[in-house]
Amino acid sequence: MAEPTTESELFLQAVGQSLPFGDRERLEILEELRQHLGDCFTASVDGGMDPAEAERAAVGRLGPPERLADELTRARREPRRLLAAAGAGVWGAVRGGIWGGLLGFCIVMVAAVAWNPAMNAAVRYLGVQWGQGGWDPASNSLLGLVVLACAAFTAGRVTTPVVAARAAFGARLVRRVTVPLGAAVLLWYVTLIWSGALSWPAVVALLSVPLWWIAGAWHTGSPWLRVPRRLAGGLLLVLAVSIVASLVVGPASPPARLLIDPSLVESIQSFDRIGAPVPAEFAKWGFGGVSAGGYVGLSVDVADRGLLTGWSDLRVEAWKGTGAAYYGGPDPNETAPFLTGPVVWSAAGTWPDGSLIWSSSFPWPPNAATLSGGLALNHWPGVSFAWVAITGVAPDGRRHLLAQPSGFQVVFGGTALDWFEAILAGR
Amino acid sequence: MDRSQLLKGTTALLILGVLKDGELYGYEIGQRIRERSAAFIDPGEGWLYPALHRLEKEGALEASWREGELGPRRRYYQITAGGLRKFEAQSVEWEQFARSVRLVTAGFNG
Repeated sequence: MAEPTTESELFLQAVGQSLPFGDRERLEILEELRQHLGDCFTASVDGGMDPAEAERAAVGRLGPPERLADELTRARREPRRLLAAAGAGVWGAVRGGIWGGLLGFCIVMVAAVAWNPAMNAAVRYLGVQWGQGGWDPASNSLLGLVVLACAAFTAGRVTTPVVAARAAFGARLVRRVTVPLGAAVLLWYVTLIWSGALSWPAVVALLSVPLWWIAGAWHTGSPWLRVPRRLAGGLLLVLAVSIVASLVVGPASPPARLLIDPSLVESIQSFDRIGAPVPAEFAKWGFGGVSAGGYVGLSVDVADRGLLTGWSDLRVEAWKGTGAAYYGGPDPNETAPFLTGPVVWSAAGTWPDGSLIWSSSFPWPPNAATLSGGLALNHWPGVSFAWVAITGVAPDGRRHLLAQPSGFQVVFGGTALDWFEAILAGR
Repeated sequence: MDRSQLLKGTTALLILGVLKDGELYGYEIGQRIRERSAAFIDPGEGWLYPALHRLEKEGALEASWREGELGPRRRYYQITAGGLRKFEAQSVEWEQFARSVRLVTAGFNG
Protein backbone atom coordinates (compact mmCIF):
# COMPACT_ATOMS: atom_id res chain seq x y z
CA MET A 1 0.00 0.00 0.00
CA ALA A 2 1.27 3.46 -0.89
CA GLU A 3 2.06 5.58 2.16
CA PRO A 4 0.74 9.10 2.51
CA THR A 5 3.44 11.64 3.16
CA THR A 6 3.73 15.18 4.29
CA GLU A 7 0.26 16.61 3.80
CA SER A 8 -1.44 13.76 5.62
CA GLU A 9 1.00 13.92 8.49
CA LEU A 10 0.56 17.65 8.79
CA PHE A 11 -3.19 17.13 8.83
CA LEU A 12 -2.92 14.44 11.50
CA GLN A 13 -0.58 16.61 13.51
CA ALA A 14 -3.11 19.44 13.42
CA VAL A 15 -5.91 17.08 14.48
CA GLY A 16 -3.75 15.67 17.27
CA GLN A 17 -2.94 19.12 18.61
CA SER A 18 -6.63 19.91 18.92
CA LEU A 19 -7.60 16.64 20.60
CA PRO A 20 -7.63 17.07 24.38
CA PHE A 21 -7.30 13.36 25.17
CA GLY A 22 -4.52 11.45 26.83
CA ASP A 23 -1.70 10.06 24.71
CA ARG A 24 -3.14 6.57 24.31
CA GLU A 25 -6.63 7.72 23.31
CA ARG A 26 -5.29 10.41 21.00
CA LEU A 27 -2.88 8.06 19.24
CA GLU A 28 -5.66 5.53 18.65
CA ILE A 29 -7.83 8.17 17.01
CA LEU A 30 -4.94 9.39 14.87
CA GLU A 31 -4.03 5.85 13.91
CA GLU A 32 -7.57 5.24 12.69
CA LEU A 33 -7.50 8.45 10.66
CA ARG A 34 -4.06 7.56 9.29
CA GLN A 35 -5.36 4.22 8.04
CA HIS A 36 -8.33 5.98 6.51
CA LEU A 37 -6.11 8.46 4.66
CA GLY A 38 -3.94 5.60 3.46
CA ASP A 39 -6.98 3.73 2.10
CA CYS A 40 -8.31 6.84 0.35
CA PHE A 41 -4.90 7.60 -1.10
CA THR A 42 -4.38 4.05 -2.36
CA ALA A 43 -7.82 3.90 -3.93
CA SER A 44 -7.30 7.21 -5.74
CA VAL A 45 -3.81 6.31 -6.98
CA ASP A 46 -5.08 2.90 -8.11
CA GLY A 47 -7.80 4.79 -9.97
CA GLY A 48 -5.13 6.69 -11.88
CA MET A 49 -4.90 9.87 -9.85
CA ASP A 50 -1.61 11.70 -9.40
CA PRO A 51 -0.19 10.83 -5.91
CA ALA A 52 0.08 14.43 -4.77
CA GLU A 53 -3.48 15.12 -5.90
CA ALA A 54 -4.66 11.86 -4.34
CA GLU A 55 -3.21 12.84 -0.98
CA ARG A 56 -4.72 16.29 -1.18
CA ALA A 57 -8.11 14.79 -2.00
CA ALA A 58 -7.91 12.27 0.86
CA VAL A 59 -7.12 15.02 3.35
CA GLY A 60 -9.75 17.34 1.83
CA ARG A 61 -12.52 14.76 2.30
CA LEU A 62 -12.00 14.81 6.06
CA GLY A 63 -12.54 18.58 6.22
CA PRO A 64 -10.66 21.11 8.36
CA PRO A 65 -8.57 19.34 11.03
CA GLU A 66 -9.75 21.58 13.87
CA ARG A 67 -13.41 20.93 13.04
CA LEU A 68 -12.81 17.18 12.82
CA ALA A 69 -10.98 17.23 16.17
CA ASP A 70 -13.77 19.28 17.70
CA GLU A 71 -16.46 16.89 16.48
CA LEU A 72 -14.49 13.86 17.61
CA THR A 73 -14.07 15.46 21.00
CA ARG A 74 -17.79 16.14 21.31
CA ALA A 75 -18.61 12.63 20.14
CA ARG A 76 -16.56 11.11 22.92
CA ARG A 77 -17.91 13.38 25.63
CA GLU A 78 -20.10 11.80 28.31
CA PRO A 79 -21.14 12.60 31.90
CA ARG A 80 -19.10 9.86 33.55
CA ARG A 81 -15.99 11.37 32.00
CA LEU A 82 -16.61 14.58 33.96
CA LEU A 83 -16.52 12.64 37.22
CA ALA A 84 -13.35 10.87 36.13
CA ALA A 85 -11.94 14.26 35.09
CA ALA A 86 -12.53 15.70 38.55
CA GLY A 87 -10.68 12.79 40.15
CA ALA A 88 -7.92 12.90 37.55
CA GLY A 89 -7.62 16.66 38.07
CA VAL A 90 -7.11 16.29 41.81
CA TRP A 91 -4.63 13.46 41.32
CA GLY A 92 -2.86 15.43 38.57
CA ALA A 93 -2.57 18.45 40.86
CA VAL A 94 -1.13 16.29 43.66
CA ARG A 95 1.27 14.53 41.30
CA GLY A 96 2.36 17.78 39.66
CA GLY A 97 2.64 19.45 43.06
CA ILE A 98 4.91 16.72 44.42
CA TRP A 99 7.07 16.82 41.31
CA GLY A 100 7.29 20.63 41.38
CA GLY A 101 7.94 20.60 45.11
CA LEU A 102 10.90 18.28 44.62
CA LEU A 103 12.17 20.49 41.81
CA GLY A 104 11.78 23.59 43.99
CA PHE A 105 13.53 21.84 46.86
CA CYS A 106 16.50 21.06 44.57
CA ILE A 107 16.62 24.70 43.45
CA VAL A 108 16.58 25.93 47.05
CA MET A 109 19.24 23.44 48.10
CA VAL A 110 21.54 24.42 45.26
CA ALA A 111 20.93 28.10 46.06
CA ALA A 112 21.77 27.41 49.70
CA VAL A 113 25.01 25.68 48.68
CA ALA A 114 25.87 28.57 46.35
CA TRP A 115 25.01 31.20 48.97
CA ASN A 116 27.89 30.51 51.33
CA PRO A 117 30.83 30.88 48.90
CA ALA A 118 29.12 33.89 47.32
CA MET A 119 28.82 35.61 50.68
CA ASN A 120 32.37 34.64 51.65
CA ALA A 121 33.61 36.11 48.36
CA ALA A 122 31.62 39.29 49.01
CA VAL A 123 33.16 39.62 52.47
CA ARG A 124 36.68 38.82 51.32
CA TYR A 125 36.90 40.79 48.09
CA LEU A 126 34.27 43.51 48.45
CA GLY A 127 34.40 44.06 52.18
CA VAL A 128 30.64 43.68 52.37
CA GLN A 129 29.23 42.35 55.61
CA TRP A 130 26.07 40.27 55.51
CA GLY A 131 23.61 39.18 58.10
CA GLN A 132 24.95 40.96 61.16
CA GLY A 133 21.76 40.22 63.02
CA GLY A 134 21.79 36.53 62.26
CA TRP A 135 19.52 34.50 60.03
CA ASP A 136 16.05 35.97 59.82
CA PRO A 137 13.48 33.21 60.54
CA ALA A 138 11.24 34.72 57.83
CA SER A 139 13.93 33.72 55.32
CA ASN A 140 13.15 30.09 56.12
CA SER A 141 9.54 30.85 55.21
CA LEU A 142 10.71 32.46 51.99
CA LEU A 143 12.65 29.34 51.00
CA GLY A 144 9.66 27.15 51.82
CA LEU A 145 7.42 29.40 49.77
CA VAL A 146 9.75 29.14 46.76
CA VAL A 147 9.18 25.39 46.94
CA LEU A 148 5.42 25.95 47.28
CA ALA A 149 5.41 28.28 44.25
CA CYS A 150 7.21 25.65 42.14
CA ALA A 151 4.69 23.06 43.31
CA ALA A 152 1.74 25.33 42.42
CA PHE A 153 3.15 26.00 38.95
CA THR A 154 3.68 22.37 38.01
CA ALA A 155 0.41 21.29 39.67
CA GLY A 156 -1.44 23.79 37.47
CA ARG A 157 0.51 22.77 34.41
CA VAL A 158 -0.44 19.12 34.87
CA THR A 159 -4.05 19.69 35.94
CA THR A 160 -5.48 21.50 32.88
CA PRO A 161 -4.39 19.00 30.21
CA VAL A 162 -5.22 16.02 32.43
CA VAL A 163 -8.75 17.29 33.11
CA ALA A 164 -9.21 18.15 29.43
CA ALA A 165 -8.12 14.66 28.39
CA ARG A 166 -10.46 12.93 30.83
CA ALA A 167 -13.43 15.23 30.30
CA ALA A 168 -13.08 15.32 26.51
CA PHE A 169 -13.23 19.10 26.52
CA GLY A 170 -10.75 21.42 24.87
CA ALA A 171 -7.94 22.52 27.18
CA ARG A 172 -8.73 26.17 26.42
CA LEU A 173 -12.25 25.59 27.71
CA VAL A 174 -11.10 23.54 30.68
CA ARG A 175 -8.69 26.20 31.86
CA ARG A 176 -11.65 28.54 32.33
CA VAL A 177 -12.50 26.24 35.23
CA THR A 178 -9.10 25.02 36.43
CA VAL A 179 -7.45 28.45 36.50
CA PRO A 180 -9.99 30.27 38.73
CA LEU A 181 -10.85 27.20 40.81
CA GLY A 182 -7.24 26.37 41.67
CA ALA A 183 -6.39 30.03 42.18
CA ALA A 184 -9.35 30.46 44.54
CA VAL A 185 -8.36 27.39 46.58
CA LEU A 186 -4.75 28.55 46.79
CA LEU A 187 -5.77 32.14 47.60
CA TRP A 188 -7.87 30.81 50.47
CA TYR A 189 -4.92 28.70 51.62
CA VAL A 190 -2.26 31.43 51.42
CA THR A 191 -4.35 34.13 53.04
CA LEU A 192 -6.17 32.24 55.76
CA ILE A 193 -4.52 28.89 56.37
CA TRP A 194 -0.77 29.16 55.82
CA SER A 195 0.82 30.51 58.95
CA GLY A 196 4.45 31.12 59.78
CA ALA A 197 7.22 33.67 60.09
CA LEU A 198 6.61 36.50 57.64
CA SER A 199 8.45 39.46 56.21
CA TRP A 200 7.54 41.56 53.19
CA PRO A 201 9.49 39.29 50.76
CA ALA A 202 7.83 36.24 52.31
CA VAL A 203 4.37 37.86 52.07
CA VAL A 204 4.97 38.67 48.40
CA ALA A 205 6.15 35.10 47.78
CA LEU A 206 3.14 33.73 49.67
CA LEU A 207 0.61 35.79 47.73
CA SER A 208 2.32 34.93 44.44
CA VAL A 209 1.53 31.23 44.89
CA PRO A 210 -1.94 31.49 43.23
CA LEU A 211 -0.31 33.41 40.36
CA TRP A 212 2.12 30.55 39.83
CA TRP A 213 -0.85 28.20 39.65
CA ILE A 214 -2.50 30.47 37.05
CA ALA A 215 0.70 30.54 34.98
CA GLY A 216 0.86 26.74 35.08
CA ALA A 217 -2.84 26.00 34.55
CA TRP A 218 -3.06 28.48 31.66
CA HIS A 219 -0.77 26.21 29.69
CA THR A 220 -2.74 23.92 27.38
CA GLY A 221 0.00 21.80 25.84
CA SER A 222 1.82 18.82 27.22
CA PRO A 223 1.77 18.83 31.02
CA TRP A 224 5.40 17.94 31.35
CA LEU A 225 8.01 20.64 31.40
CA ARG A 226 10.57 20.64 28.64
CA VAL A 227 13.02 22.60 30.73
CA PRO A 228 14.07 20.06 33.36
CA ARG A 229 17.08 18.89 31.36
CA ARG A 230 18.25 22.47 30.93
CA LEU A 231 17.27 23.34 34.47
CA ALA A 232 19.04 20.29 35.85
CA GLY A 233 22.10 21.23 33.81
CA GLY A 234 21.95 24.78 35.17
CA LEU A 235 21.60 23.58 38.75
CA LEU A 236 24.52 21.19 38.38
CA LEU A 237 26.60 24.02 36.89
CA VAL A 238 25.77 26.33 39.80
CA LEU A 239 26.58 23.51 42.21
CA ALA A 240 29.93 22.83 40.56
CA VAL A 241 30.85 26.52 40.43
CA SER A 242 29.86 26.90 44.10
CA ILE A 243 32.04 24.01 45.18
CA VAL A 244 35.01 25.32 43.19
CA ALA A 245 34.38 28.83 44.51
CA SER A 246 34.26 27.63 48.10
CA LEU A 247 37.65 25.93 47.59
CA VAL A 248 39.17 29.00 45.93
CA VAL A 249 37.68 31.65 48.21
CA GLY A 250 37.82 29.71 51.48
CA PRO A 251 36.13 30.88 54.66
CA ALA A 252 35.76 34.59 55.17
CA SER A 253 37.80 36.01 58.04
CA PRO A 254 35.72 38.30 60.23
CA PRO A 255 36.25 41.93 59.21
CA ALA A 256 37.83 44.18 61.73
CA ARG A 257 34.81 46.45 61.94
CA LEU A 258 32.75 43.71 63.50
CA LEU A 259 34.83 44.01 66.65
CA ILE A 260 32.93 46.68 68.53
CA ASP A 261 34.28 48.49 71.54
CA PRO A 262 31.96 47.62 74.49
CA SER A 263 31.98 51.22 75.72
CA LEU A 264 30.84 52.30 72.28
CA VAL A 265 28.02 49.76 72.46
CA GLU A 266 26.85 51.21 75.76
CA SER A 267 26.78 54.71 74.36
CA ILE A 268 24.86 53.54 71.28
CA GLN A 269 22.30 51.67 73.33
CA SER A 270 21.16 54.67 75.40
CA PHE A 271 18.64 52.77 77.45
CA ASP A 272 17.97 55.93 79.41
CA ARG A 273 15.42 56.68 76.70
CA ILE A 274 13.40 53.79 78.11
CA GLY A 275 13.83 54.82 81.70
CA ALA A 276 16.23 56.11 84.29
CA PRO A 277 18.96 53.64 85.32
CA VAL A 278 18.16 50.67 87.48
CA PRO A 279 18.17 51.67 91.15
CA ALA A 280 21.21 50.32 92.93
CA GLU A 281 19.16 48.21 95.31
CA PHE A 282 17.65 46.31 92.34
CA ALA A 283 20.83 45.98 90.32
CA LYS A 284 22.37 43.42 92.62
CA TRP A 285 19.47 41.02 92.12
CA GLY A 286 18.88 38.82 89.16
CA PHE A 287 16.74 39.27 86.14
CA GLY A 288 15.87 36.87 83.40
CA GLY A 289 14.14 36.50 80.11
CA VAL A 290 12.69 33.77 77.97
CA SER A 291 11.54 33.80 74.38
CA ALA A 292 9.47 31.15 72.64
CA GLY A 293 7.10 31.23 69.70
CA GLY A 294 7.08 35.01 69.55
CA TYR A 295 6.30 35.35 73.27
CA VAL A 296 8.85 37.07 75.46
CA GLY A 297 8.82 36.80 79.24
CA LEU A 298 10.92 39.00 81.48
CA SER A 299 11.45 38.87 85.22
CA VAL A 300 13.24 40.80 87.91
CA ASP A 301 13.93 39.52 91.38
CA VAL A 302 13.39 42.01 94.18
CA ALA A 303 15.03 41.48 97.57
CA ASP A 304 12.15 43.12 99.36
CA ARG A 305 8.76 43.95 97.93
CA GLY A 306 8.73 46.90 100.28
CA LEU A 307 11.37 48.55 98.10
CA LEU A 308 8.66 49.24 95.58
CA THR A 309 6.29 50.90 98.03
CA GLY A 310 5.12 54.12 96.41
CA TRP A 311 6.00 52.97 92.92
CA SER A 312 3.30 53.01 90.31
CA ASP A 313 2.58 51.83 86.76
CA LEU A 314 4.86 48.80 86.92
CA ARG A 315 4.90 47.24 83.49
CA VAL A 316 6.82 45.29 80.92
CA GLU A 317 7.44 47.25 77.74
CA ALA A 318 8.94 46.64 74.33
CA TRP A 319 10.79 49.23 72.26
CA LYS A 320 11.59 48.99 68.62
CA GLY A 321 15.33 48.42 68.17
CA THR A 322 17.67 49.70 65.52
CA GLY A 323 17.94 47.02 62.86
CA ALA A 324 18.60 43.52 64.00
CA ALA A 325 21.75 44.15 65.97
CA TYR A 326 22.27 43.13 69.55
CA TYR A 327 24.66 46.00 70.13
CA GLY A 328 22.14 48.55 68.88
CA GLY A 329 19.75 50.35 71.14
CA PRO A 330 16.18 51.57 71.02
CA ASP A 331 15.37 53.24 67.71
CA PRO A 332 16.17 56.97 68.14
CA ASN A 333 12.99 57.83 66.27
CA GLU A 334 10.78 56.07 68.80
CA THR A 335 9.39 58.08 71.67
CA ALA A 336 7.32 55.36 73.33
CA PRO A 337 7.23 51.60 73.60
CA PHE A 338 5.26 49.90 70.85
CA LEU A 339 3.81 47.43 73.31
CA THR A 340 3.29 47.31 77.04
CA GLY A 341 1.90 44.69 79.35
CA PRO A 342 1.18 44.15 83.03
CA VAL A 343 3.58 42.60 85.49
CA VAL A 344 2.68 40.34 88.37
CA TRP A 345 4.33 39.29 91.60
CA SER A 346 5.21 35.72 92.30
CA ALA A 347 7.33 33.80 94.77
CA ALA A 348 11.01 34.65 94.46
CA GLY A 349 12.73 32.84 91.63
CA THR A 350 9.57 31.56 90.03
CA TRP A 351 7.26 32.48 87.19
CA PRO A 352 3.60 33.12 88.07
CA ASP A 353 2.78 29.51 87.16
CA GLY A 354 5.25 28.30 89.78
CA SER A 355 8.00 27.13 87.42
CA LEU A 356 11.54 28.07 88.37
CA ILE A 357 13.34 30.99 86.81
CA TRP A 358 16.67 30.44 88.52
CA SER A 359 17.99 27.81 90.78
CA SER A 360 15.89 27.56 93.92
CA SER A 361 19.01 27.20 95.99
CA PHE A 362 19.20 30.96 96.43
CA PRO A 363 18.88 31.92 100.08
CA TRP A 364 16.00 34.28 99.30
CA PRO A 365 15.31 36.89 101.99
CA PRO A 366 11.89 36.58 103.67
CA ASN A 367 10.27 39.39 101.67
CA ALA A 368 11.93 38.57 98.33
CA ALA A 369 9.65 38.24 95.33
CA THR A 370 9.82 38.15 91.57
CA LEU A 371 8.13 40.60 89.28
CA SER A 372 7.45 39.28 85.80
CA GLY A 373 5.49 40.00 82.67
CA GLY A 374 5.24 38.82 79.12
CA LEU A 375 4.54 40.22 75.69
CA ALA A 376 3.69 38.61 72.36
CA LEU A 377 6.07 40.36 69.98
CA ASN A 378 5.27 38.41 66.83
CA HIS A 379 2.47 40.65 65.54
CA TRP A 380 4.54 43.69 64.55
CA PRO A 381 5.56 43.64 60.87
CA GLY A 382 7.59 46.84 61.30
CA VAL A 383 9.77 45.50 64.11
CA SER A 384 12.72 43.21 63.53
CA PHE A 385 14.46 43.73 66.84
CA ALA A 386 13.03 44.76 70.19
CA TRP A 387 14.35 45.81 73.56
CA VAL A 388 12.15 44.63 76.37
CA ALA A 389 12.31 45.98 79.89
CA ILE A 390 10.39 46.01 83.15
CA THR A 391 9.89 49.57 84.33
CA GLY A 392 7.97 51.50 86.90
CA VAL A 393 7.37 55.06 88.00
CA ALA A 394 9.27 55.83 91.18
CA PRO A 395 7.91 58.13 93.92
CA ASP A 396 10.01 60.92 92.38
CA GLY A 397 7.77 60.73 89.30
CA ARG A 398 10.47 59.37 86.98
CA ARG A 399 10.16 56.09 85.12
CA HIS A 400 13.00 53.75 86.03
CA LEU A 401 14.31 50.55 84.58
CA LEU A 402 13.99 47.76 87.12
CA ALA A 403 16.47 45.60 85.21
CA GLN A 404 18.74 45.97 82.22
CA PRO A 405 16.66 45.70 78.98
CA SER A 406 16.97 42.48 77.00
CA GLY A 407 17.23 42.40 73.22
CA PHE A 408 15.15 39.98 71.15
CA GLN A 409 15.05 39.31 67.46
CA VAL A 410 11.44 39.72 66.41
CA VAL A 411 9.72 38.13 63.48
CA PHE A 412 6.09 38.40 62.52
CA GLY A 413 4.22 35.14 62.86
CA GLY A 414 0.78 34.43 61.48
CA THR A 415 -1.23 34.31 58.30
CA ALA A 416 -1.11 36.80 55.42
CA LEU A 417 -4.43 38.15 56.65
CA ASP A 418 -2.92 38.73 60.11
CA TRP A 419 -0.04 40.52 58.40
CA PHE A 420 -2.26 42.95 56.53
CA GLU A 421 -4.47 43.50 59.56
CA ALA A 422 -1.33 44.46 61.46
CA ILE A 423 -0.20 46.75 58.64
CA LEU A 424 -3.61 48.45 58.54
CA ALA A 425 -3.50 48.81 62.31
CA GLY A 426 -0.23 50.71 61.91
CA ARG A 427 1.91 48.05 63.55
CA MET B 1 -30.74 21.05 -1.68
CA ASP B 2 -27.68 20.78 0.58
CA ARG B 3 -27.21 17.03 0.99
CA SER B 4 -25.06 17.46 4.06
CA GLN B 5 -28.13 18.85 5.87
CA LEU B 6 -30.11 15.74 4.93
CA LEU B 7 -27.22 13.57 5.99
CA LYS B 8 -27.11 15.05 9.49
CA GLY B 9 -30.37 13.46 10.54
CA THR B 10 -29.66 10.11 8.97
CA THR B 11 -26.02 9.48 9.86
CA ALA B 12 -26.71 6.87 12.51
CA LEU B 13 -29.28 5.13 10.33
CA LEU B 14 -26.85 4.88 7.39
CA ILE B 15 -24.00 3.56 9.51
CA LEU B 16 -26.14 1.06 11.39
CA GLY B 17 -27.71 0.05 8.08
CA VAL B 18 -24.42 -1.07 6.56
CA LEU B 19 -23.08 -2.58 9.77
CA LYS B 20 -26.10 -4.81 10.39
CA ASP B 21 -24.74 -7.00 7.57
CA GLY B 22 -21.35 -7.48 9.22
CA GLU B 23 -18.41 -5.71 10.80
CA LEU B 24 -16.45 -3.14 8.79
CA TYR B 25 -13.75 -0.56 9.42
CA GLY B 26 -14.23 3.19 8.89
CA TYR B 27 -13.11 3.50 5.30
CA GLU B 28 -15.20 0.48 4.30
CA ILE B 29 -18.28 1.93 5.99
CA GLY B 30 -17.95 5.13 3.97
CA GLN B 31 -17.42 3.17 0.76
CA ARG B 32 -20.37 0.86 1.43
CA ILE B 33 -22.69 3.83 2.00
CA ARG B 34 -21.41 5.41 -1.20
CA GLU B 35 -21.90 2.20 -3.19
CA ARG B 36 -25.38 1.47 -1.84
CA SER B 37 -26.52 5.02 -2.52
CA ALA B 38 -25.06 4.86 -6.04
CA ALA B 39 -22.68 7.65 -5.04
CA PHE B 40 -25.59 9.92 -4.15
CA ILE B 41 -24.42 10.09 -0.54
CA ASP B 42 -20.77 11.03 -0.76
CA PRO B 43 -20.14 14.15 1.27
CA GLY B 44 -16.64 13.25 2.47
CA GLU B 45 -15.72 11.45 5.67
CA GLY B 46 -15.41 14.32 8.10
CA TRP B 47 -18.80 13.35 9.53
CA LEU B 48 -18.14 9.59 9.60
CA TYR B 49 -15.64 9.16 12.42
CA PRO B 50 -17.35 11.47 14.92
CA ALA B 51 -20.60 9.58 14.21
CA LEU B 52 -18.89 6.20 14.70
CA HIS B 53 -17.37 7.30 17.97
CA ARG B 54 -20.71 8.71 19.16
CA LEU B 55 -22.52 5.46 18.34
CA GLU B 56 -19.80 3.53 20.11
CA LYS B 57 -20.18 5.74 23.19
CA GLU B 58 -23.96 5.18 23.09
CA GLY B 59 -23.42 1.43 23.00
CA ALA B 60 -24.87 0.94 19.53
CA LEU B 61 -21.48 -0.19 18.22
CA GLU B 62 -18.49 -2.03 19.54
CA ALA B 63 -15.04 -1.35 18.15
CA SER B 64 -11.90 -3.45 18.24
CA TRP B 65 -8.47 -3.20 16.72
CA ARG B 66 -7.48 -6.16 14.57
CA GLU B 67 -4.95 -6.98 11.91
CA GLY B 68 -6.47 -6.79 8.44
CA GLU B 69 -6.25 -9.78 6.06
CA LEU B 70 -3.78 -7.98 3.84
CA GLY B 71 -3.22 -4.61 5.38
CA PRO B 72 -2.28 -3.11 8.74
CA ARG B 73 -4.22 -2.96 12.02
CA ARG B 74 -7.66 -1.51 11.62
CA ARG B 75 -10.45 -0.50 13.91
CA TYR B 76 -13.44 -2.70 13.12
CA TYR B 77 -16.96 -1.71 14.12
CA GLN B 78 -19.67 -4.21 14.96
CA ILE B 79 -23.32 -3.49 15.63
CA THR B 80 -24.62 -4.46 19.09
CA ALA B 81 -28.07 -5.67 20.09
CA GLY B 82 -28.84 -2.16 21.22
CA GLY B 83 -27.59 -0.87 17.88
CA LEU B 84 -29.95 -3.21 16.04
CA ARG B 85 -32.91 -1.96 18.09
CA LYS B 86 -31.86 1.60 17.38
CA PHE B 87 -31.64 0.79 13.67
CA GLU B 88 -35.13 -0.75 13.65
CA ALA B 89 -36.61 2.23 15.45
CA GLN B 90 -34.88 4.78 13.23
CA SER B 91 -35.81 2.86 10.07
CA VAL B 92 -39.51 2.96 10.99
CA GLU B 93 -39.26 6.64 11.82
CA TRP B 94 -37.42 7.41 8.60
CA GLU B 95 -39.97 5.50 6.50
CA GLN B 96 -42.78 7.45 8.12
CA PHE B 97 -40.95 10.69 7.55
CA ALA B 98 -40.11 9.88 3.92
CA ARG B 99 -43.71 8.80 3.28
CA SER B 100 -44.99 12.01 4.78
CA VAL B 101 -42.59 14.08 2.71
CA ARG B 102 -43.67 12.19 -0.42
CA LEU B 103 -47.33 12.76 0.41
CA VAL B 104 -46.76 16.46 0.90
CA THR B 105 -44.61 16.91 -2.18
CA ALA B 106 -46.89 14.70 -4.34
CA GLY B 107 -49.82 16.95 -3.50
CA PHE B 108 -47.75 19.97 -4.39
CA ASN B 109 -46.41 18.51 -7.64
CA GLY B 110 -49.65 16.86 -8.67
